[in-house]
Amino acid sequence: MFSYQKRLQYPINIKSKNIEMAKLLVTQYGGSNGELSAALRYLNQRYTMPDDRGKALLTDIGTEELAHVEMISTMIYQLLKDATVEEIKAAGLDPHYAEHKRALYPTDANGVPFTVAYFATTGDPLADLSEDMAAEEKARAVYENLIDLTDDEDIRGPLLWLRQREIVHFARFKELYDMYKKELKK
Amino acid sequence: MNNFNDFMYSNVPGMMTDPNMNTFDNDFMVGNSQNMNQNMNQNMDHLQLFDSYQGYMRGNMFQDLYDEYKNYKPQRLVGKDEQQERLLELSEVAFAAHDLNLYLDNFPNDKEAIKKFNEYRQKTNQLMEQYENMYGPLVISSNSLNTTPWAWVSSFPWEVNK
Ligand SMILES: [Fe+2]
Repeated sequence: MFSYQKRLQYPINIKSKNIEMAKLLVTQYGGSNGELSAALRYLNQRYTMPDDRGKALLTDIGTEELAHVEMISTMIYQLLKDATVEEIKAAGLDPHYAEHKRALYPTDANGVPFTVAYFATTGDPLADLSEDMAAEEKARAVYENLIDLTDDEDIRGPLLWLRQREIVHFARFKELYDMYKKELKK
Repeated sequence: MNNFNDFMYSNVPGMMTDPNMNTFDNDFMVGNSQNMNQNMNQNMDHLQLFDSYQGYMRGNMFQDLYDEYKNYKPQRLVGKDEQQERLLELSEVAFAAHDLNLYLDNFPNDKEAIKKFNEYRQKTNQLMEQYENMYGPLVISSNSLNTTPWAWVSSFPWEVNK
């Protein structure tokens, strides 16, 4: 089961609203390489990992991804909270406003809604872990794109931090992949 | 026993930390071998960890995995009041324990890492209890929940903390 801790894994305190950035950042919430996709991918794949190392790692990284969903959601919430309708229109976010006002909704940066088609599971640990490694690399790349697109330190700080987590997760998945590759052959 | 050396990947883009590299567009630069030279011995010092403060700032406790983007330095986190400072301290050690947890999932026989994990775990529990006694519950199992009104319904972490 899961329980909630009433704190962010890393603090988010964005002082200036920025509708444009909210519009872009949302892809790390509901886009194909986003945190929600990561969380569901690992938490779904964990059941059929071949041993306890894999079950533990996918459970723990999948759980951490939920904390990242919360961080990204918090960023979007804070960026949009005080936006006027005029500002929302000017940023081209009026379709979002029409459907959701200032509420969060998992889409990519183009407004395409989240879908579970973004991830796979094959029951083959090597295939699944390869997907997980690629997912971490893609999420890292998207964080770099987003870091390039902002000069607000309140936004960049958490993005740099989240990017670093993708690097650690990639390394852990690769370690496990390499061990399984050796061991499962025997 | 553990094969920490096995994943010194050299084909991951953006592995360099040399700020001079930043003078030209390095979007597609491939791992700088200098970074790979840190010898990860399989003896007692195989875990080259940052301290919890440095690790938390970076989002990475493992020195050999740390990989800076362009020349961006980690954000310096400073609490604006006592409560934020205490929360940062707690978050630091909780993060250190968590990053070791992920490592230990792959290498469950690493005594040194288990020892480190338990140091950070104990510190986390201790700071968590202190924080909750002063500022209210972070978890639903907290001893601080025996007051009226029900303390769980206050302050959610997505609200701006100016
Ligand atoms: Fe991740």
